[in-house]
Amino acid sequence: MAGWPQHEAEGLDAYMRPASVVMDLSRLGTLYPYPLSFMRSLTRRLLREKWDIQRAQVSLDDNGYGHVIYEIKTPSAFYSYVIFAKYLDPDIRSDRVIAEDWDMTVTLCEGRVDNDRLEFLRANVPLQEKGRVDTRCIVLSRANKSSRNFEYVVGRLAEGKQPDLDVMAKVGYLYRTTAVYGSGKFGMADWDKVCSEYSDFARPFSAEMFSCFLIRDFSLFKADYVAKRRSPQTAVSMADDVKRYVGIGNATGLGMAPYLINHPLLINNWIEVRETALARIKRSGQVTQETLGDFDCLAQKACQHLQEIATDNREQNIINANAREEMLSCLEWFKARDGLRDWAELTAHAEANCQPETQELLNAILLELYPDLILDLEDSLNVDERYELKPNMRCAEVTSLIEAHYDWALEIDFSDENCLSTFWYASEEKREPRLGKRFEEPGAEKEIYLGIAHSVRCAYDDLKAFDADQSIARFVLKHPKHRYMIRRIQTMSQTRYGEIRANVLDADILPIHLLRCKLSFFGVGKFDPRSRLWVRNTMFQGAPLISDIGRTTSDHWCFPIKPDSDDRAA
Amino acid sequence: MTAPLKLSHNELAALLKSVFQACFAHGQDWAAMAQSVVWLESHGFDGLAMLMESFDEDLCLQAVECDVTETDTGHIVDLNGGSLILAAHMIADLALENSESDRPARLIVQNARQPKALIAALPLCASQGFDAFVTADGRGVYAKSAERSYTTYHSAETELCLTCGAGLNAPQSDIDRTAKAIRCQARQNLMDGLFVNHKCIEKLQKIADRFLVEATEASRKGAGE
Repeated sequence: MAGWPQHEAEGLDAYMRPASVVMDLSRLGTLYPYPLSFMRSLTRRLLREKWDIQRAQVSLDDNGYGHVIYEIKTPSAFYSYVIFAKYLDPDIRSDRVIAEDWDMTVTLCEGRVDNDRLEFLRANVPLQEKGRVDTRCIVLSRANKSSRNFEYVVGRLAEGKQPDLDVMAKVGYLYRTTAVYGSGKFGMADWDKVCSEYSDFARPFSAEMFSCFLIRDFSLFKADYVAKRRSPQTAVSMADDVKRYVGIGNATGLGMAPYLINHPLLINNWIEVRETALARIKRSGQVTQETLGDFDCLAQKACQHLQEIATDNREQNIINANAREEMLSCLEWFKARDGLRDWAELTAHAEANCQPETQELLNAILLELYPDLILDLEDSLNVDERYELKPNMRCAEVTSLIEAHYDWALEIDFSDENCLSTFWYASEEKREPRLGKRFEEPGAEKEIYLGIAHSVRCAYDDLKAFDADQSIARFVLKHPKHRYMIRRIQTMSQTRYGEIRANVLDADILPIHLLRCKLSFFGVGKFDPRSRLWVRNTMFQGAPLISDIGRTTSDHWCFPIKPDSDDRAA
Repeated sequence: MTAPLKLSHNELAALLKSVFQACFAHGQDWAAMAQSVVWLESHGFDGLAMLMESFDEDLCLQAVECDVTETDTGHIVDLNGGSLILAAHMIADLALENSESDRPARLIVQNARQPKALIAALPLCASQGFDAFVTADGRGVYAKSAERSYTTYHSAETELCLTCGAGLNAPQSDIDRTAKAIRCQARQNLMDGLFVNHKCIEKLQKIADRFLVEATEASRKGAGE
C-alpha cells in the first residue's frame, strides 16, 4: 500500500486528526517548522556525526570577490562546496527567478575539486540555468546580498563594534537565496543517484538545505573577512551568538507551488509523519511539572519570536499578534487549572477557542517537548512515488473512491466562473510559473495541469456516463485524458491524508499557503509575505555554526529570538 | 562536431512531459508517455530515437486510437498506424486487466509504428507483480517481476506480442543481452547521465516551448511583480 501506515500498528488512530482538518489548504498555510523539518534533521546529523567542514581554499580580493572551496568530510563520503562571489551592480540585483546575475553562485559536488574541475565549474556555475553541470554535482544555487544589512554589519565590525541586534532583528540575514536546484536539474545527479550514492543527503531536500547552511556560513565569514580588510587595526569578528542569530534569507515564489500538487504521495507522507509525531505525544507524552515548565518556557519564547518578526505585511502582523495573544491566554488557561491530564486536553481547548494559526503554533511547541518519542520518524519521510493504474478495478469502484475520498472536490461548483477563473502556466521567461485570469487573459489553452479538483470532477462525470461494470482499463482507453487522474485517485485513495484540499483554479486562491506549507517542512520561519504570490523568509536563524560542530549536539534552536545582550557582554 | 549532452533522467522526463503536453495538452497521459521514453532510453532500447521517428514533419504527434478484439487465444490490439511509443502504457493496462493468476494475458499488436516500443509495457507489468514477454521478428525481451530484471533473447515468435502473467518461465533460447548487462547499463546511465545528441534536444526543446506562454507586463504581475 502507498503511504506510511505505521500509525495503525501503533494504535494511534484515535489521536490522528482527520484529513478534512489537516489537508485544508488554509490550515496547511499555518504550519510551523518542527523537529523533523529538514533543516533540523540535517543539523542534528552533522552535529551528531561531527562532519568536518573546512574552508580549504579562500581566493578572495579585499571586497570578498573571488572563489572559496569548502571541503566536507562525513563519516561516509567527501564533498566539495564551491562558491563564486562577484561584484553585482545593485541596479540589476533581483530575487526573481528571471534574474540573470547574482552576488554569489554555488554548487555542492562529490569529491575533491582540482584545477580543471574548478575551471569547469567556474565556466558553468555562475550561469546557473544557462550553464551545464554534471552528475557529480548535487546542488546548484545562488544568493544575493542584503546590501543594506551587509554593509551595516561590515561597517560595525570594521569599527570594532558588534552589530546592533535591533537592526539585525529587522532583516535577520546577510544574504538570501533566490533558487536552490537539485534532483537532476541542469545535468546534476538524479535523486535516485543521491539516494544510492550519497547517503548523507538521502533524506528529502537534505542536500539543498546543506547548501543553504553553507551559504549562511559564507555570508558570516565574508562579513568578518571584508571588515578586516577594510580596517585591519580596528576590526573585530562577529560574536558567535550574534552569528547564530543570523540566518540565510530566502525568497520563494510560485515556482515552489506546483511541486506540492505534483507530488501528492510525498506530501501525504510528510503530513502523515508530522501527524503521527503529534499523535504519539498526545497519547504518550507524560504531563509532569518538568514538561509543563518546558512547555511554558517554549511558549514564552515562541511569543517573543512572533513579537520580534518584522514585516510590512499588515495581515501577517495581525496573524502574528493574534497567535501571540491566544497563546498567552492558553498559558493562562492551563496555569489556572489544577494540572492537565494529557496534552490532548490542551489541544482540544485550543481547537475550541483559538484560530488555526495558534493551534498549529501550539502543536509545534508540543512537538519540541518529546524528541525521544518522535525522532525515529525522520527516516520515514521518503516515499517511492508511484501512481500506477489498477486496470482491473471496475468503474463503479473508482466512482465510489472518488465519492469517499474526493468529496471535497465534488462539492465545488465548477459551473460558477469564479471556481475556474485562475489558470497556472509557464512563462517563456525561464519557464517561471505564473497565474492568469482565464476569462480575461490569453494562454489558458497552455495551462499547467494543477487543477486536481476540477480534473476529478471531469473524470467523475465521464465515469458516471460509462458502463459501471466495465474495467477502468477500458474507460481510460476510451478517455485517455483521464488516465493520469484515475491512477492518481486509485493511489491517493489508499493513503490517510490524500490530496491537499483546495481548488487552485479559484479566483481567490492564495498560493502563499502552499509556499508556507512546504517551507515549514524545510524548517523555515519568519514569514514575510510580499504579496499573495511570494514570501521572504529566514532559514537557519538560531542554528548552530560550523564552529559548534564537536562542541554541542543541542537541537534547541527553534523560535529564534534576539540573543541577550547582557549575556553577551558577560 | 558537438559532443552529445548528458541529461539526468529527471531532466529528460521533465522535457518530455512538456513535449507531450505541447502536443496533446492534457488529452493523453503525458507523464506515462514520458516515463516510457525515459525507461527505454535508460535501459538501452532507444526510446528517444523511436520518439523522434514518431513526429510528423510539422513536429506534431498523432494520438493513438486502439481497437481491441477478443480472440480464443487472447486479444488483438489494432493501433491503426499509431506509434507504440505513445501507447505502450495502454497496452500494458489491457494486459494487466486480462492477466489472472492461472492464465496469462496474450495481446497481439497490429498496425503499429515503432513496434519495439512495446518493450516499455514490461516495467509496468513487472511493477504490478507480473512477469512478461514482448516478442517480435524473432527477438524477445523478458521481464522477471520479482527481480525487476530484463533479458533480451532470440525468439521463434514473429508476431508483435505482449504476454503477461504470474510466474512465467524465463526464455530457454539464446540469450542476447543478459539481465546483468541491462542492469549495468541502466545503472551507468543513472550515474553518468543519458547521452543525447544536441539536435534531438534542440528539436524537443522547440516543441516543448510551444507550451510556454508569452511574457507580458500583465503576466509578470501573475508572478508577484
